[in-house]
Amino acid sequence: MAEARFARLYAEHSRQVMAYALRRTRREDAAEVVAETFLVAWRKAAEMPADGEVLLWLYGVARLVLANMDRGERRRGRLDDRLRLELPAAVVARAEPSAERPAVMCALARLEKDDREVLLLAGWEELEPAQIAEVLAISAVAARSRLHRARRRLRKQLSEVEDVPDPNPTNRLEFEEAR
Amino acid sequence: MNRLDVDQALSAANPIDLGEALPPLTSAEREFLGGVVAEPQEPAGGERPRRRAPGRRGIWARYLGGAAAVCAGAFALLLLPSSGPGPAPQTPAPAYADELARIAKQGSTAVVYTPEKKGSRAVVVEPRQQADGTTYVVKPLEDPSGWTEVDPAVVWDCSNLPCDRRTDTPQEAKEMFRKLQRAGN
Repeated sequence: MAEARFARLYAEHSRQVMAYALRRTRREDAAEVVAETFLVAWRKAAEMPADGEVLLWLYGVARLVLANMDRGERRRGRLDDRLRLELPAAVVARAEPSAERPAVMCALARLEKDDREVLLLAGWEELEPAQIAEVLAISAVAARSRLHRARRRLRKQLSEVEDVPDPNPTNRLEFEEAR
Repeated sequence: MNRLDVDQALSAANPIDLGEALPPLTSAEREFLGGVVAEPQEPAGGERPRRRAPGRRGIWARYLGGAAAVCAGAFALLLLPSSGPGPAPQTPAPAYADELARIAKQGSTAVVYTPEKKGSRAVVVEPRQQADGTTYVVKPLEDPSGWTEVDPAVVWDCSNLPCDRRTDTPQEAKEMFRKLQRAGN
């Protein structure tokens, strides 16, 4: 029964978790993030919320997995090459990025990591403040406040980086240098 | 650029689209899932701890307002063992000490607002790893010169017990700490 639910949740949400990872790290690392996230989910299945809230919980786990990768922890390396190639292919990169993208990426890279994360959860994962609060394990009031502050800081940065060349024309995010 | 413009710019910069339909799992994914479910599961340990939202009283009122005097200033400089593996200490401990131990187990230096009405209102809790388990050191934050030496990861408000975690990130803790410095504890 537990296995069946886990497999169903993986089928329903692995692409969204992969998209979350691809928006924040390199393609070659994103599959590891997904695999580690679902491994944690399986181990902590007793703490997993109801189906309707699982995706937010998974985002929260993936966020911590990414943070651990940032700290240089050893990768588990449990994926074979097939999975490492197949998982990122399950979501697609936008073929034609917007003209504003270089400036937005540059402005995002100048923000603190916490500001950037709350903005990306709102803008890219399209979460409401209450849902962001679930992912970040903070109160809804704190999430709204943090989002408000982050929008203000992004607006300020955008006003300072109007015309810049695309720092990352590969259409993927690589914020490591700013972390 | 207003809020809508910022959100639109962010949305337009999103580099990844999700496909319309979920593709069927590949054989590699099914193999992966088979390997995962062969792993042991952890027993239920409760949900992720949630922090309380600020109440009607402002943050400063919570920090600096009157507080329940649960214990006196016996924590000016203490070295208390935490409850590691093995039998828990049987010595009666004030609720505040239990809270300090709980905070110390979070594993990073924290500034804590004490329930004391007199003396130091703030202490620094520093967890220490020792061969026989985790201990923690509590230092008072009375001397303004000592404030600059602290780089807290978390700020807690223990003016009412149980303690209420007031910051979520080291950056927030630093900002809060700077405000407290300016306010003079």
